[in-house]
Amino acid sequence: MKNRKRRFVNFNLYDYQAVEEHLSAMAARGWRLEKAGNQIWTYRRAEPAKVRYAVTYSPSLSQFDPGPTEGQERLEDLCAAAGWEKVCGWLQMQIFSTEAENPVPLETDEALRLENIHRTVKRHFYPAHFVMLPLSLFMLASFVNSLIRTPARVFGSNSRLFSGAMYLLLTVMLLVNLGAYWLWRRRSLRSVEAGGRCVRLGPGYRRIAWGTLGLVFILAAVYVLSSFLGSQKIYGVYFLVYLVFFTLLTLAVHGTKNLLKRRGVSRGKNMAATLTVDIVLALALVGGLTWSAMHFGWFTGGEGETYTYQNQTWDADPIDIPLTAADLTGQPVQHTRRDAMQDGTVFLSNQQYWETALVDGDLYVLSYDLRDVRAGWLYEPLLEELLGTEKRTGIPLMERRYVQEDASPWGAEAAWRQYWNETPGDSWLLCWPERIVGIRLDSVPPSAEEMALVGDLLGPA
Amino acid sequence: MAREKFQTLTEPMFYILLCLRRECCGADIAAQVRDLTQGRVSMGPGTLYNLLDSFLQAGMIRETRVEGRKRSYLITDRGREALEAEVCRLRTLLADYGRCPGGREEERS
Repeated sequence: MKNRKRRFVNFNLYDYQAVEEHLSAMAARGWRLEKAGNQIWTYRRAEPAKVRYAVTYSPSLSQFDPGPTEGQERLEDLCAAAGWEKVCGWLQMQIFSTEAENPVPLETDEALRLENIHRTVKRHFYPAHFVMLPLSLFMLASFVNSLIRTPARVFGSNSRLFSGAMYLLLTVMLLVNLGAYWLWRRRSLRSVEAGGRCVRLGPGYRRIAWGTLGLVFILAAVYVLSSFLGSQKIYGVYFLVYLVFFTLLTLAVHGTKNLLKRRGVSRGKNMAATLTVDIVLALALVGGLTWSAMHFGWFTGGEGETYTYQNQTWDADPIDIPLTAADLTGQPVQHTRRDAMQDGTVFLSNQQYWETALVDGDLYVLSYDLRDVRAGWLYEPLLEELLGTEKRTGIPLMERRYVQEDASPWGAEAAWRQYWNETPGDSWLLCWPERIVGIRLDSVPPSAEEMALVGDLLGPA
Repeated sequence: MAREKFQTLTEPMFYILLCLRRECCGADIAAQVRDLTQGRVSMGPGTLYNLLDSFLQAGMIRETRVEGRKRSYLITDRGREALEAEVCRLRTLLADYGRCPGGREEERS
């Protein structure tokens, strides 16, 4: 039989009634709070009992203070004299319990309690929210901008959709938190001025808080699952690796803070050291993962075995791609290197391929992408996005545009050729009902055979 | 509009300052307040701690002795002034109450 259990909690710092009621209910079921981590609380098994819990706030207390501080000791002594036993602290909340029948309440001045809560919120709740909110709003605005300007790119990437949803949820949660506190304080002020108590935080807020959190977990699970079930397993692996590293980072940061607290290091020195560990580990995490992804080619199918010839790196065992330089030239390829990248969602899949080959002593460069539109409504926005003009500043000003051509040689339903100003380029867009292919050829104009081959190999089966 | 801090005293503030006209340790204040008010005013330890802290920061009381974890306090001149001002305010209220027409004295006559 387990004598300890841990539970994920999602309380708000000022929602003291919820904390008190939760702990009394747990004690009645035979579980007493032992330790309160930021989000994970630990309970130990005990005889079920009617235990009253109450909390008070210490706004000046920091989580970096070597504990217990002189102020905490004074508070504990005063509470002990009144029959209240210290359970533990959670952020700036000090939790006490008593089994006495009619104890003196821990707080007997509601105005003072409200003022104390507000001081705590101003010092420890507002700063994080006021830093996070502009950041999340900026990221959300950037996502919405991408959604308007390049909807196909957004709907074609699980990662973009997932991160956009996360920014939205984060922004909603921050706004709901701030709004809920503002409302709670306004109502509590009115109630206290009328001689009443601080009001209870409504169940609506808790439902939103748990709902948002649930949605985050569901979306993360959907993201990972869709990555594994689809062709982009590496995105799911990357996300999970990131999550594991992030958890280790959090544990290391908390471990550092707690170790320094136990050793009696001052608040300032502890903050500086913990922040340094946090920044160094975060940089190592992001840098290390990015370097690994690039070095080991996580997103491009891996580097595989290579060799060097004429100062260039070539693949010993090149990957299979739908259309090769050998197909187009009809000649044997002596040396080649190939890359492939796949991404996609339930709306749109995108496969990109590159090949650089040495054909008859000359370099041959080929690249193309296949976009399969699974959601019909996305076809037109995607085509519009791909056909959009692009301007490159410089002298002379270069403008990219597409000019429609006869599609029949490609076996496609529509075809456009890229132009830079009035100069025809080496890229084409080929359209079929559910597939759009973009291809950049090495030698232009392509022959009728090459066009037919491209249509045959890259068009829908 | 928010009331300026300590411009007027709440009941708990008043009784803490009243008790600290004589040196007293924190834990004894609650008992003294209960005895003094015959149980009418009860002082929660959380409230007591926060008020003692606020009074110390405002210079209205000072720490006189520290014996282990036991700390004793005494009112300062500033605290005494605040207490006297509150008493004066209460007396004014009472006087106004007595002078106000429509009171019980007037009804009897």
